[in-house]
Amino acid sequence: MNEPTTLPESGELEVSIFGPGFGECIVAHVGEGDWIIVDSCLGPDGQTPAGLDYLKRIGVDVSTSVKRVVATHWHKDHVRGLAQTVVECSSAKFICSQALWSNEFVALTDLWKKRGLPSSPLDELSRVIDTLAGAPGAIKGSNAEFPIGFAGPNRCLWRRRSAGDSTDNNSAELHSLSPSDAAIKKSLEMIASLFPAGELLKKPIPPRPNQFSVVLWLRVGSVRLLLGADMEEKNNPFGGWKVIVESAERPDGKASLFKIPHHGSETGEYGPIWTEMLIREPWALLTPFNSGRVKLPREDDAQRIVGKAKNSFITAGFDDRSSRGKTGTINRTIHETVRYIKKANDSFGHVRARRKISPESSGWVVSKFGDAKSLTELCAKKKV
Amino acid sequence: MSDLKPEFEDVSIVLVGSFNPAIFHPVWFAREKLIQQEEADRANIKIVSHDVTVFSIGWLTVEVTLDRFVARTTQIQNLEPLRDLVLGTFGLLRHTPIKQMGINRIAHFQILSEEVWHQLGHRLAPKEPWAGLLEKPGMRRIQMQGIRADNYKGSISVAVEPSLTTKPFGAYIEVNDHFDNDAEEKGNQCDRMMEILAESWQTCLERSFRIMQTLVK
Amino acid sequence: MMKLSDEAVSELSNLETAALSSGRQIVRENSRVASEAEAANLTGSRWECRRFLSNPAGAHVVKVPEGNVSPSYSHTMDIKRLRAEPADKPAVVWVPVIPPSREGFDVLQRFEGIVLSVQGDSFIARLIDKTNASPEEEAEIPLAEIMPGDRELVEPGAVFYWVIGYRREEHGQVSRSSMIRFQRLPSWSPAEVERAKKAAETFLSFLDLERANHPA
Repeated sequence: MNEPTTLPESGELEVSIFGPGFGECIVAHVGEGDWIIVDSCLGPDGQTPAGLDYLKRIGVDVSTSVKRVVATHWHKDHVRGLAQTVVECSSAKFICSQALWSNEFVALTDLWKKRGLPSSPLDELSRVIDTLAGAPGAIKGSNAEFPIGFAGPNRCLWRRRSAGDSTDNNSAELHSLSPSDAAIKKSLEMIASLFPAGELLKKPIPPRPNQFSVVLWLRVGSVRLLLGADMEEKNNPFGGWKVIVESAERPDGKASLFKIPHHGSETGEYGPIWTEMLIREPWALLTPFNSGRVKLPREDDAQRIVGKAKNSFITAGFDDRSSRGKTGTINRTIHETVRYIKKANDSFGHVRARRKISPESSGWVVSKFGDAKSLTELCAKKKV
Repeated sequence: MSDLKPEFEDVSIVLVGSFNPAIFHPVWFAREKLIQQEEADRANIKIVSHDVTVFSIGWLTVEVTLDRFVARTTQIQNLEPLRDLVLGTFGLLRHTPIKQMGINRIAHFQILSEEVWHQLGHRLAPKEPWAGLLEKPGMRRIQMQGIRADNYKGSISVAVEPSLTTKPFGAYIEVNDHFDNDAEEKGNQCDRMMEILAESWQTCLERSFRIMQTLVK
Repeated sequence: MMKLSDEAVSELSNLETAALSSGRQIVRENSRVASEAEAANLTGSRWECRRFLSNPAGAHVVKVPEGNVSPSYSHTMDIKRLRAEPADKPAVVWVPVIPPSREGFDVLQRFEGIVLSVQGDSFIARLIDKTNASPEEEAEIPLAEIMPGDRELVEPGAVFYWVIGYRREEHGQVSRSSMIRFQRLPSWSPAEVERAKKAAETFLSFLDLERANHPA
């Protein structure tokens, strides 16, 4: 796989999105050597956090240069490798929904830890909680910077001021546009439902909908980006895209780059996003979701997105997965038992979008690495 | 050198404490969904009484007396279910006082020749100190005990004997991974012991396997 | 532990001597408090005999098997001697011995699986390779492959163990085997949940979480 090796320039904005079939991570250079990481997934080796690995390979000192690590929600495909990321980005503030620091959620992680069972999404978050609770500044009475920040509606999560006015190329801000207070309350109810009584233990599968996701608005100079996480629109008054778009307090301006929400699904689509929050023909980035019988984006989803943003890119396709061989005692036995078996994440790709921060810049320059492709290419491949 | 496969293997979890054997009927286990209903229906019940309970369900044997609970399996493909059964049982009976726990593994290995068999005995129990004291001294059983290198209280014991079931030459090895309860409060004894079981299970199995392979090779 | 009377200790000593000469072994319990060394062995595979107040006539008697002392099992005593004792004298009851089986299983591959979805007569699961730490896989498994007693457990989030290997039967037959068994761990009791919540509350009270509302 051809790999990127160059650092962005100080005055260059970068958004890199990583995705195997199951997982998503975004890293963003917001100028002057400052980086932000959003979510986490594992790279092709199945062990190393993809975003962290990329930053280290291009020479970023993650312990000082990463300013914020954001967990948009706690679905497994967005948190694998998060604990290691938090540990290594030791001067970054960790941003998440307040619900993850509730009695209920902390109790849930503790109960799972006591069972001593591996491979739970709570495992990752449990380690994040332990790491942050032990950080200087975490305890009451400490003067050091507090290591945790709660995302909320139209809340500023990070700011880099400059000597000039707010549209100076050196200034930058990261805002969360969600979750709403009502969504936080709902998410606490949802967490409470993960304490089943009188039944056998099952691995917790966070239920949908994804109204509890943290949607991010990033401004660097006059360039704006909308990172949609897994936010959906389901006509719920307490959360969703409608609440975000219609909020009078959200930051102004229109984004030129859009991280498509919820892997391009129909439920992540909400028309007014495109008219109210995005420029005409923005660049669009997304990751696929390929697990079990669920494959996103579907063909019509991809067509819809390409219809609104011809410069759309996806980190991986669907049909790149290989199955086991059929020889050998183990493989023969497996094939005799199952209807199919495939590697869960056989493809992996990275889409990197860069542009100069200055207003005169023409636009984004996109590079594709690994199995990444344009969405147009994916649509064409599906038709063949 | 590839690992030697034992002719016969047995893994058990032994708890020392205070138990009520009458509770541990297969029906109870099935009602709590700790075993399948079908398994409970077909259980081979030797005895269930206030003093002792012994039953087996194919892959599992349970023996309980007033001060000991033993769950064992000879089916190595069912090691996780064995652990789960004990975790599940004492997750429900969490007020049971448990003082000690043993995670035990025994195995009988075929030894290829008499010469190798004698070499094993001689390696573990050299004959020279016995010269002049016994005629034709031979190792009947050797038991060694070591301290724990982890953070738990307890010890690890290993015993080796000639196997009397594996013919013509075999070695019997027994590993006892012993834990003393280090719970700070008496009321937390059961929870703490189950925590130790969950945390150390995999390590104990890997250690006993490594010990056995090192001794017989 | 029950204490043995001096009479019983003496009786057992006699039996032990008799047993040794017959090639049998008896592990006996001593009336004194177990030493540290013995205490360590208490969780070991060897058992010490236990004395029960039981009807001796109802005692099971099983022949001592050939071979090494089977772990955790005590051995029989002479049934005649047992029945010769007066009925009101506490008897020593021995736990029945289950002789070691010649069956075995050579494990080639272990998976831990998590059910993702169930549809019709099959389910889709994510598989974690516990033998080689290879990348995760997904498979569709027919419900027919699941033991009837476990089928009620097949639902999203359920965990199962899948072991593949060679089974060795009692009479020597070797056959390839694939076995799936679902995990059975009870969920938490309301009391456990309450305790965890209280512990979480205490833990969080040390953190200055109010400052998290001003992340910039």
